[in-house]
Amino acid sequence: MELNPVEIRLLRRFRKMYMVTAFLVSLAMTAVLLLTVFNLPAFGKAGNPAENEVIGRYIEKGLEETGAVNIVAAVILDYRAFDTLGETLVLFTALVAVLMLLKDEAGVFNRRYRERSKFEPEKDQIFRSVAGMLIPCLLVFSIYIIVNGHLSAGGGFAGGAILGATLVLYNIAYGLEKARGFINEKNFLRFITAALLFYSVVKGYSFFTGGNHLPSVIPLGFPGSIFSGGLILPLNITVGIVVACVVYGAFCLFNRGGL
Amino acid sequence: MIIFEGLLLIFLIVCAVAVALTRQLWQAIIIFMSYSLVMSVVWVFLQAPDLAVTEAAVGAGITSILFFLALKRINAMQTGKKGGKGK
Amino acid sequence: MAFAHNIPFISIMMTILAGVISLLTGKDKAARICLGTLTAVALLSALLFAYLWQTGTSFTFSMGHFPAPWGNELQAGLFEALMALTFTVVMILSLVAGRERVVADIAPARQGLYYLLCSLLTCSLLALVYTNDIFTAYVFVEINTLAACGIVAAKDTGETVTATIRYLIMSLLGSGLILIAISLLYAITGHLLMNDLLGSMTELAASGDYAMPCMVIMLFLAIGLAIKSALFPFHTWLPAAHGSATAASSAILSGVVLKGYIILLLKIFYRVFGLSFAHDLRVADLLFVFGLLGMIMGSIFAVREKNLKRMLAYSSVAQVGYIFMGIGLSTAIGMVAACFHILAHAITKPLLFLAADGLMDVSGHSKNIFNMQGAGRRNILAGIAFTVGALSMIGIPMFSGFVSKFYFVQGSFQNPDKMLATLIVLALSTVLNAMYYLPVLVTLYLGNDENSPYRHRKSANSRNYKKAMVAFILLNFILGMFYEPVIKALEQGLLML
Repeated sequence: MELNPVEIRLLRRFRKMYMVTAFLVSLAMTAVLLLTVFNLPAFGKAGNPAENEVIGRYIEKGLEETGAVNIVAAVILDYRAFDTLGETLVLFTALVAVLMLLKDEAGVFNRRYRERSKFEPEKDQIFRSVAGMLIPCLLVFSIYIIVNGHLSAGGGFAGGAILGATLVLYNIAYGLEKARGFINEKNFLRFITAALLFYSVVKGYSFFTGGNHLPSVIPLGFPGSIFSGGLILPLNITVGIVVACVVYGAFCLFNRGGL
Repeated sequence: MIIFEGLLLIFLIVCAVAVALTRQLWQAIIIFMSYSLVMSVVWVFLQAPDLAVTEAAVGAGITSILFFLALKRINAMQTGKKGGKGK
Repeated sequence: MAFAHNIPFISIMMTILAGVISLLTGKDKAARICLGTLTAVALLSALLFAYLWQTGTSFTFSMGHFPAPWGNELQAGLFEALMALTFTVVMILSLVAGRERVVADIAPARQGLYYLLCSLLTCSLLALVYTNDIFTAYVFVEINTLAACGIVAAKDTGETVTATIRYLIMSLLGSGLILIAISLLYAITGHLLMNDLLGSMTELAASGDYAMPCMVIMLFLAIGLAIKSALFPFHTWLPAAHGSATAASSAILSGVVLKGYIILLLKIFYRVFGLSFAHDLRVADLLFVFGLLGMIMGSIFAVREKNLKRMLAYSSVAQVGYIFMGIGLSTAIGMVAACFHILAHAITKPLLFLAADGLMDVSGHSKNIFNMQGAGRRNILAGIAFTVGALSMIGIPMFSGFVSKFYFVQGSFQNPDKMLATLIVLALSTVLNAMYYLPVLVTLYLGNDENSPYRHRKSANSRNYKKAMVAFILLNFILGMFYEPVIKALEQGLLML
């Protein structure tokens, strides 16, 4: 599109004004936030407002009430599991929106991609062998983080992200066709739906019994062993599946417009 | 230790300003990646290992890949003089 | 414990399950699942409303085995039940009436996902209405934002994609402000549950500690939610998004999505800061001024607009201004009037968008008003519907818009400082409303279509469209004439908040 000189001058002026305004706005925002932060209670001091009965019970009774050694996991997947259901749904919604926008039914983008692509990592021997060594380690690491979520730092979100990144690496190194061998569109959709359904049904049961003051039949297990923490382990696994699916799905959709 | 933490925080500020001022999008992404990595170290210092693992995986790994793919999709990845910027 | 206490939980879970399952089904099944679930939720909400009306109490429902400050909690009173009922009914009617347009506008492979996003949108709105925890509210605000962007982008034209990007960026800016505010709030109080926050905030207000952070928090929350609900200076994303999306999306976005954020703001006013503290922080005055500006500027933009859908979108800016003006009056009647206007606008604006769609259908799908000469004669139902909606928005007695204006005026009498400004702007805005709606009505009915290529175009309204439009028109009359019980329910509901 050709612009006439008047328009170009207007655009230049707009750009300059924009820069100045942006600078002033960010300066004002920084000043306000810094001033607020200096007025807040000092970080990590005893006796802060944040150190109240809520935190107290999490720390003192968390292990006893949820059976999870990792208090963070206890908070996000047991005490406040509804929020985490929401978080998982945020990822799901984002994936659905990406699926809607970028799914390439006609395969137009795919063809264009092949014509244009100069660098094909699938044919790069060094990259492939390094990836071949890395992928098994990453898989084990991610599964360890997910499954051990109630015992040590990590959990579904972190482990799922690593698992997703591993799948992305596999896809880059060996190509989409080979990745389709174990994760194609059909079972991808099934995985993510099943995981979310499991989360909402199982946690729905727990919400329902809790809300109606009925006893729950789920055993907490012996703290510290792998099968402990009641629902936290299965929920960590489902969250991990959802996160990995979202990461991998978003990658494939951005890359080729299809899984 | 405090000096090291301070250095990390200064690095974060420099990165944040640099992301905003960089003209080329792919450079901004790389700076953003290093921002995330340093941020995950800061999380470790703040005794939040859960967040550190997630930040490293999501911030440094996945979001950057998605950013790069998005740039590739809109053909903004040419390096050199032309660059993907809205002049 | 009565069964009715489970209704908020059941409605939220049902919409979540409906959304998740729709990923695996075909498009027709997804539509049926979505509409079926929404109907069930509407019936349940009506039941809940009846139950609360009978007992005159509100209740809380703990999500899980841990009581409130530790676990999550839902709360339902008359206000919440009424809003949930209205939202689901408006969703159902908009989706039913816009069904044919969705089929025409959106690629077949995307229609299933469209209904999936609609289910998730309802789930997030219900959660926003019922939640008692400010962080849960934030999480569902995010779902709401993404799903709303998705249903705008579903109609894949260049126009909708740019509109979606603007909408997404502005919305995420709002989310960022809300998140900063929530984390600051946690730092000075140590609570996320609304009841506990109210206790801490009352103490802080009495002792005067952390005055500056309180101010910043309130400001960020108000501005963040104002961006998302398109209050005047932050409305720039709205006309493009609402004007370009498919009819059902425009109806849902303007009727329901904007209101969800306003309700969250109301809950923050009542249940986090407490009305008197919020008043002391002067944020209400800010919202009042922005509301007044919005009422005038939105109407002025609408008068200048020749594209019918964008005109309606600018009219939404003006109507959101009314609601914020009512909140800013900070009088009891002003609040009731604002809440009533939420309901009135929620049933009127979707009616207008859907009627505009019917009128565009007999004018060769042109959105320009000049191409709609005589369209009201060709598509009689859409013409009547547009007339009803327009008269209601202007504020003619017997229609729902009149009642809210009546109460806005009454509310302003209680606050002498703001009375004069309110009355002047209300009068001015009513004149401006008439200035852009009446010419459209004249064009629709008296316009000369002898030279128009579409003059023999017969209306092809489907039965679903007819039913939903008639329902919308009836609702408008009911709310306009038998408003007393609704006002009473809102008064009691606001006391229960």
